[in-house]
Amino acid sequence: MVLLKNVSFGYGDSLVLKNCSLRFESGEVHLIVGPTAAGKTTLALLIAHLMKPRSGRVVFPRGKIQGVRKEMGFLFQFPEDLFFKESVYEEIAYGARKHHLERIDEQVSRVVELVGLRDEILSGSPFTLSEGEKRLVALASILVWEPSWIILDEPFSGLDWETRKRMVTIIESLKGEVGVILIAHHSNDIIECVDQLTLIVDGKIVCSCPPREVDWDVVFEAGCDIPYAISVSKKLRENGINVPMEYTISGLIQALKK
Amino acid sequence: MIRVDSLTIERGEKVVIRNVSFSWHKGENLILLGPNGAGKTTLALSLSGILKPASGDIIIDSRPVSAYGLTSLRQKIGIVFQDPETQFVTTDVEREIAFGLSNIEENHEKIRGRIDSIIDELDLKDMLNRDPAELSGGEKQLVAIASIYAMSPDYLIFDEVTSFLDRRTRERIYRLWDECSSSLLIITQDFEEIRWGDRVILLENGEVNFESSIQSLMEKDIIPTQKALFKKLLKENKSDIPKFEEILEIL
Repeated sequence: MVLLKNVSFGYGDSLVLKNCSLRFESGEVHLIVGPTAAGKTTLALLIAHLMKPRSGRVVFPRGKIQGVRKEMGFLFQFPEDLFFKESVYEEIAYGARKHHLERIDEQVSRVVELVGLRDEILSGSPFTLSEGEKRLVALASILVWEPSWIILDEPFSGLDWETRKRMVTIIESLKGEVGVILIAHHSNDIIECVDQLTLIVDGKIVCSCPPREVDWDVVFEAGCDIPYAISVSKKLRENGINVPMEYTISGLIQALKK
Repeated sequence: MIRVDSLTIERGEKVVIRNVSFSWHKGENLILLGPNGAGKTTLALSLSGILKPASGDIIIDSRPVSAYGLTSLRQKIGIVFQDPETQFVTTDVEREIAFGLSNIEENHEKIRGRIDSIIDELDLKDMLNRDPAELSGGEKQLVAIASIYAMSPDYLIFDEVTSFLDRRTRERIYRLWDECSSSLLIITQDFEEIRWGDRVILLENGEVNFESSIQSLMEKDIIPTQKALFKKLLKENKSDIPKFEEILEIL
């Protein structure tokens, strides 16, 4: 579990986060949504102990900073900009070496299979890959040291449809083992496997609850996307078909069968 | 009209665009789709005269792209990049928006009028005195769009400009697409955006794999939009859904 207790943070004079309290359960997928400039990335950086709050506390179970570095992986926006090794293999292996893991080959093979990369790209340069492959290499280079938490900042942006689907499959496969804290403005890609959704607006937590309990009108009003199934549920209700407000397509189909 | 004929583009040793031909008519909006690495951005850079092809022709309104001077080319065709920071050159938003236009237009009143109308249209009043570098991602993208749009190019390319934006900011851009008099080429990974096009071109491995009018694609539900995916699932479960026909009608 990771806890944020009354956390505030600012750049210069302006406060970007105001008195935020949140709880992230281990092994769950936690989606953070909010309009542009709401403070989402800042929140993620604080959770990862990459910045210190101005006031309040970020409580990580192991307590010590060395623990956080080992236990928490952070996939930045445009993570491919941070590549610095000559081969894909070395780029991925770097994370394993940094954390003094043994049997590097085995660890690299494991994550290459997990994220679904082709073996033949391992000896090539990471810089010549497509954007989709680059993103998967960046993710593999974090998963290789088996962190118990990963933070993904807009992992779907700029990716094609196939790679977005792959990313969702990877996140689904991590569920239960790894706590995933995910920042995204398109919830459609991922909503089916989200356990907890937090809406942040203007540096304040507006709600944090399971998707089933979310008031989607509030999310929409904040300038964010709402799941397609919610828009359809709404439209059907307006046209006299009585369905519950379902947030997943599969849930909506089930509800329509009754 | 822009006519692309047997275009091949190389980057380093790699052939990124291979023997591509298509036309882009005035008044027509094109949607350029394709997986990551297909060559969409490379093609866009070449169309706008930034990247020189290895062979083949790009003819803009009867003249080869290479025959235009920079000023006249920017009046013909503009491009907004996915990463807006790559195109900022000044330190305040108002000057940034005016920069391109003041390079192609000398009349100050005209510049002022155009800039004011764009500030109004994209609702940028509150950020005019700020440094573009200090804006949020969405705000940066709006400023980048405004600065290119200010030059009123006949043809305007948007290279995945909405992929990092929230719904409200995207809607401001969609409104501009609705009202814009330029012919648009929209590169996107968001299938919901194909409705702003008249025709789709699918690029794969540097080649045009498929071309179709948007209308026929929509009718066949080929593009995996959320609606098409939902309709497919609905049809698969048709026999178990009592109000199937009625629901299909409402969608």
